[in-house]
Amino acid sequence: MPYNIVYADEPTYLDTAFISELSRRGSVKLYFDRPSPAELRERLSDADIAISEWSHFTADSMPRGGRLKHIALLLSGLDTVDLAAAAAAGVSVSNCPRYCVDAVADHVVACAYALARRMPAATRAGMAGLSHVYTPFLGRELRGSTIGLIGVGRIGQAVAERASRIGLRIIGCNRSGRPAPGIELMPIEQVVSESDIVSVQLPYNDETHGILNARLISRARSDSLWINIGRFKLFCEASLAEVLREQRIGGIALDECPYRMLGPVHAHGNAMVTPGTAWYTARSREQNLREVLENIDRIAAGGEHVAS
Amino acid sequence: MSHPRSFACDSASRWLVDAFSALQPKLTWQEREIADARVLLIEPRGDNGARTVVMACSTEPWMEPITGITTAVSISALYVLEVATSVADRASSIDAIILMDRDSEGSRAGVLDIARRRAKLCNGGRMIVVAAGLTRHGGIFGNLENLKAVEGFFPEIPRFTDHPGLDPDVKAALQCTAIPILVVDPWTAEDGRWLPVPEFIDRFC
Repeated sequence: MPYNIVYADEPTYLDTAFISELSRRGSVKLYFDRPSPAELRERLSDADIAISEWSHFTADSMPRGGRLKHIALLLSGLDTVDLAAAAAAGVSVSNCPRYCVDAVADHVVACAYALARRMPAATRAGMAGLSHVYTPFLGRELRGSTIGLIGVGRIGQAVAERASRIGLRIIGCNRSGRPAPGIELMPIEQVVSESDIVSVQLPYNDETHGILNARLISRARSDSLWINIGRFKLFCEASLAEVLREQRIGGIALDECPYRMLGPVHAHGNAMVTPGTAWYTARSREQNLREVLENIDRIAAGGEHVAS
Repeated sequence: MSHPRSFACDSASRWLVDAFSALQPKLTWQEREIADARVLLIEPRGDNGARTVVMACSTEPWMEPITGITTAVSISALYVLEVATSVADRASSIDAIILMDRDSEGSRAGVLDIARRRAKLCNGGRMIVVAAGLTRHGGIFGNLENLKAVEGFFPEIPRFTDHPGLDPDVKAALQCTAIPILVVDPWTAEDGRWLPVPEFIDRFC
């Protein structure tokens, strides 16, 4: 059945093969900006399937009795969609949890190495023309350290696989209690207190909002390195600001950071902020588009809510 | 191919500029206004024999009924972006890429003049016009069989002679450039297969 497919907002990456594949599934309308809520509603008015990367879908965007059947997110998370409203409107939602697993796991390991070797400050010094200056940049080696994985889903397990090759002890926690191969599971507080490196790869939702709070971070070792490739709002912002200003952890790498937090982040000498690029490799962006097509085809084949 | 109307919107234009900006410093680009069109002139790191000017319209509203795709950045421009991305990492014979957002008599004349001047500076300079979907509109250079036939004439690419898919005013403008021109439709096969970018570069650049 041919669909009206609307690519509703600014594509980070598009290739002609993908557009061609979409056009085999129906008529295609591509937008290159980020719509206001009213514009989004208008764009969805005659769409069967919406593809989205940036927009927030609320009850207003998905009127009951509308034509919209499915929202195909290019994201691994689902926090941009009011899932209850979608269900009420009879709109299914899919995300892309697989496309960037390797890229993000590589990013975590890269950050761990960079923080352990104090690369942010050493790079600034080198680029400023300093040479053979050692003392402030004393590094440590990762082998034999403990990495604590908060979240042991696909990405957590991919990080664990890499960590085992480096010779790290791997501990972690999850909410389900399901065993994770190669990861010693324990309560989150214990993970934080025993880790030299804390890697956070949690989905952001009501349950995980602010989960990294003062009480939890206070258990961290003073030299622990923290890496968060998820939403910043997993942190309690005020607590993190205090921790960073008081240098109560050894370093931090964030892949998302609100502007107002850059001051505290800068105040900590061993800190890195990347602009949401943990996933961004040539392979990931191509796999992202393929995963969207698979999700659309699953819906076309009669599948229901395929978010995972 | 000719169409006086342009539905280029600022956001689409910006998107395209951002996409090419992201390829810096591997290639450089500049934005110009020519007649009533905004024109992007992109200069990849050409090899010593760079002599090819690739040109496309960055908006092609006339293609919508043919392809079933409504897009403010043309499919041709997206394809050319893939070409630019590919040649950004390697030397090629591409001297310049020109994208114009409005195909009118004035803009076309200006852009072809730029292409002609650049191509004439090169020994054996030539121009490739990318027009995705032209085949379905009746163009003759679109299907792969015809491309092979054209390839057989290398390096003497025949001057543009007859393209049923092109409007007469466009034909006239192309014929006036006095440089060899090849019109290529990379979206060729009935099953929607695209001419892979590496193959496009190997064949034409």
